Amino acid sequence: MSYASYLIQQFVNALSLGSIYALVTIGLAMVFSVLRLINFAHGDLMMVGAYGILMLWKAGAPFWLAIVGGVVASGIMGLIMERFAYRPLRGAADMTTLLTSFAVVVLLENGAILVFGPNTRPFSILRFSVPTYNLSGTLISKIDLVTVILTLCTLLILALFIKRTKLGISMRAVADDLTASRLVGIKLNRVMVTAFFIGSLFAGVAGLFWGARAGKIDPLMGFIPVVKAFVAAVIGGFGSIAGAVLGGYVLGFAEVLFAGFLPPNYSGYRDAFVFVLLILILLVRPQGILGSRTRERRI
Amino acid sequence: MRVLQVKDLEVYYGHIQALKGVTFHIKKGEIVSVIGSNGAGKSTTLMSIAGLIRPSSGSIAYLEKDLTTLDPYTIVRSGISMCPEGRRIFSNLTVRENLIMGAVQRKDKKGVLKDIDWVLSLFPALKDRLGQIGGTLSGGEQQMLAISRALMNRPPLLLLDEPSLGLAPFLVKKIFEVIVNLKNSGTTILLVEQNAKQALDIADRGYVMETGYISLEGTSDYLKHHKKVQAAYLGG
Amino acid sequence: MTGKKPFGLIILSLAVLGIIVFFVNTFANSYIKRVANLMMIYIILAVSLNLLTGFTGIVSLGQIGFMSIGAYTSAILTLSPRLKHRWLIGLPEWLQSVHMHLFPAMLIGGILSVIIALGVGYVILRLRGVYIAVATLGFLVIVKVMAENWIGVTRGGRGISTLPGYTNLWWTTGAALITIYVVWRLVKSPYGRKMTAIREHDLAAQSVGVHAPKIRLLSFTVSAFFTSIAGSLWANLIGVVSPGSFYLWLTLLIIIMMVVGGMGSITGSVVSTIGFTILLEWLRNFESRVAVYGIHYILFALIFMLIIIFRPQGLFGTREISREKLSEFMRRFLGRGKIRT
Repeated sequence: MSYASYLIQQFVNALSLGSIYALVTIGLAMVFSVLRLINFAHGDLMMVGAYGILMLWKAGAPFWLAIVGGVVASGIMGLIMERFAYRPLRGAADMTTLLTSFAVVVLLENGAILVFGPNTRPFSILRFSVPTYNLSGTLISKIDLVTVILTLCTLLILALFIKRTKLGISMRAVADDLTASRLVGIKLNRVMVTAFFIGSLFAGVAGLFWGARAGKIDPLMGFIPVVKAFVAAVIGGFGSIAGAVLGGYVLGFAEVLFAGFLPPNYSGYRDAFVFVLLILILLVRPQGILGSRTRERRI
Repeated sequence: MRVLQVKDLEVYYGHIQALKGVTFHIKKGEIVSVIGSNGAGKSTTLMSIAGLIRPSSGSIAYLEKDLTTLDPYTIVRSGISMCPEGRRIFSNLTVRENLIMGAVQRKDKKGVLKDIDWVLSLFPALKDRLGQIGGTLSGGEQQMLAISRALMNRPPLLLLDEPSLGLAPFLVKKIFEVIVNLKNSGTTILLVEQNAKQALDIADRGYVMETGYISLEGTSDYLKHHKKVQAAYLGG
Repeated sequence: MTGKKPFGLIILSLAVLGIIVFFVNTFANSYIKRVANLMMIYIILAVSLNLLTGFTGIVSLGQIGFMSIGAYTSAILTLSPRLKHRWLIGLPEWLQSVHMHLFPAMLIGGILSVIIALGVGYVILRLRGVYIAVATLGFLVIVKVMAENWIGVTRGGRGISTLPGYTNLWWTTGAALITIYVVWRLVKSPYGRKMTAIREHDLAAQSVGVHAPKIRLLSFTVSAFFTSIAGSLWANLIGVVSPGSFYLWLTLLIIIMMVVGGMGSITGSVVSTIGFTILLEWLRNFESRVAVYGIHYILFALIFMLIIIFRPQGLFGTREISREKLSEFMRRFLGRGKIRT
C-alpha cells in the first residue's frame, strides 16, 4: 500500500472521528451556552440513543426507523434530564450543577447496567456487506463516509436553524446576554428546553456513529466521549457552536496523528493524551481557537 | 388616566434596602422623568417594574393590573418594554437580529418588517449597519439600537434607563428628539436619567430620588426652578 | 464564643473511643473490622476533600489519584522482596529489596503525594471553576492510565496483591483523628478564613491581600497528603491494589458523602460518612441476596440529587459540633442538662 493511500485513509479516519466528536461537542456547547451548565451526562445520552437504536432494530423495526427512534429516545431522555435534574437547580452555582451532572451519570449508567446488563453488545446496524470502497488501491471505509456526510448535512441544518429561525436566534440571544433576553420577552423555558433537546438529539446521532465505528456498545460508553467533547469545546473556544465543531475536528485529527506516531506498546496512553492536551490548551490559550480574550458571558 | 401606579415599593439586596417605599404614577401619554444621583435606586425601580427584581413589599400596577410578582415575559407581553442601563444589546447578533429579538413576542411577520423600517427612520445611522455585529457598533449606535430594539414590540409604555450615559452631546440631543417624537405618537415614557437638565426639558413631570425614596415631585417646570434641584442636579 | 476548650469532654470522648476501638479490634469478627476500618478511611477521604472543596471552594475530581499514589507506594514498599523480584521487574534493585512496615511506607507515600501535588497544583490551580474540575479529572485519568501501563512498576491491570495486612483499627482511627484535628485547626486558623474568602469571591479576596494561589496550594497539598495516607491504609487493609479501585466510583462516593454531610462542615463529613458506610454495606448485602447489582449506586445518586435540590447546604451546612450545641441537643431531645443563660 502506497504512502499516499495510507495518508488518505487516515485522513478519512480523522474526518470521521472528528465528525463524531463535533456532534457530541455541539450538544455540550449548546447546553452550556444557553443554560450555563456543563452536563457530564451528555455522553450517556449517546448511550441511550445507541441502545434505543439497537433495541428497536432487534425488535424488528426497519433500520431507518430504528435510527430515528433511538435518536428521539436520546432527545426525550434529555428532556427528562433537564426537567428533573437541572431545572430545579436553575440559578445555582456552577459547582452544584457540575456535581449533579455526575450523579445523573451514575443514575443513567447504572440504570443501563440494570436494564441491559453490563456486557458489551454488538452494534452492527450500519454494517455493509462490503465495508469499503476501493479507489484504485485505497480502501475507504463506508461507515466513515456515511458518518462524515451525514454529519455535514446535520451541521448544515443546524446552521440554518440558528441563523434563520426566530427560535434559533433566540438561543443565540440567551447565550449572549441572559438578562437582555428576559427584557426583550424571550420565553426562557422554551429556549432552554429546545437547546437541551437539540443537543440531546445530536448526542443520539453521535451515539449511532460511535457504536457503528466501534462495532459495539456498552452502558459505560458515554463517559470517555463526553470528557473528550469537553476538551474539544475548550480547544475550539468554549460555548460557541462554531468552536465546538472546530474543536471536534481538531481533536479528531490530533488523536489520529498521535496514535499514528505513538509506538505500539504505549497505545494505552491515548486517553491520557487528551487530558495533557487539555491542560496545555488551558495554560497557553484558554479561550480556545475561536474564543476572544474578554468574552465573558453576561448574566 | 394612570397607566402605571407604583405604591410603597420596597426592595432589598440581601440585607441592604435599596428602595424604601417608593410611590409614583404615570399618566397616559406623558413623559415622566426620575432623576437622582448614582445609587439612588432609579435603576432598581425600573428593574422592579420590568420584572427582573422581585420587591419585598409594595405594588406595581399597569392599567389597573397588578404586575408586582409577574415575570419579565408576561410584563413584556402586557405592553411594557425596557431599554436597560448600559444598553445590553446582543453583541454577538447582528443589528437586524437584535431588532428581530425585540419583536420576539410578535407573530405578525409583515408588521415586524414594517416596524424595522420605522425604527430605521427614527435612527437612520443604523440603516447601513443592519448586517453588522452588535459588538462592533459605537457606543452611540448601540444606544440607538437598544432603544430601537425596545420599540420593536410597539410598547404603549417605554422604560428608558439612562439613555444618555456616556454619549456625546449631539447624540444625546438626537436621542431625546426621538423620545419626544415617540411621546407625540402616543407612547407613554418613563425616563430615568442622571442628565437632569435634558430630562426635565422634555418631561411633563418628574420625581427626584435619593437613597431609596422619592424626595421631591412635581411638574418639570416646578422641579427645574426648585432650589434644591438646581443646586444638586442643575449646577445652579 | 469564649473559646474555652472543653478539655474534659475531649479527653473523655477520646477515652471512650479508645475503649470502643479496643473492643472492636480485639473481639469483633473480621467483617465488622473491615467495615470499621473502611469507615475510618472514608472519613479521612471525606474530610480531606471537604477542606479542598467545601472550605476552599475548589472542585477537584482527582483527589483519588493521590489515594492511588499512596496505595501503590505502600504496596511497593510493603510487598515482600521475593514477590517484588518476580512481579515488579521494572523497579530498581534497591527498591525491590526494601521491605517496610506501614508507618514509613505511609509517610513516604504522603511525601511523594505532596511533591506531586505541589507540581500539579502549581499548574492546574490557576484555572477557574469547571476547568479545574476537568483538569483534575484529567489527573485522575492520567494516574489510572499510568497504573495500567507502567507494568514493570505497577503490574498493570492485574494489580499487586498479597499485600501484608498491617492496617488495623488503631491505625485507621488514629489517622482519622489526626486528619480531623489538622483540618479543624487549619480551618479555624487565619488560613481557614482566607480559604473561605477565596471560596466566596476570589477576586475580592485577592484585592484585600489574600494570596490566593498560596492558600489554594496549601489546601490542595494538605488534602493530597491525607488522601494519600488513606490510600496506604487502604492498600494494607484490602491487600490488593489495582488501577480500577481508584477511579470514578470512589470519587463520586466521597463527593456524595461530603455534599450530603455539608460542604464546610467537618462534623457533617464525619457523620455522613458513618451513615453512608453503614448504608453501603447493608445495600451490598441486600444486593447479593436479591442478585440485583448496582442498586447502591442508584440510591446514592438519588440521595445526592435530592439533597442538592432541597437542602443544598447538606445536613450540617457549615455548622460544627461544639460544647454548647451538644448540651443544647441533649437538653432538647433528652430532656435534661443544665439550663443555659
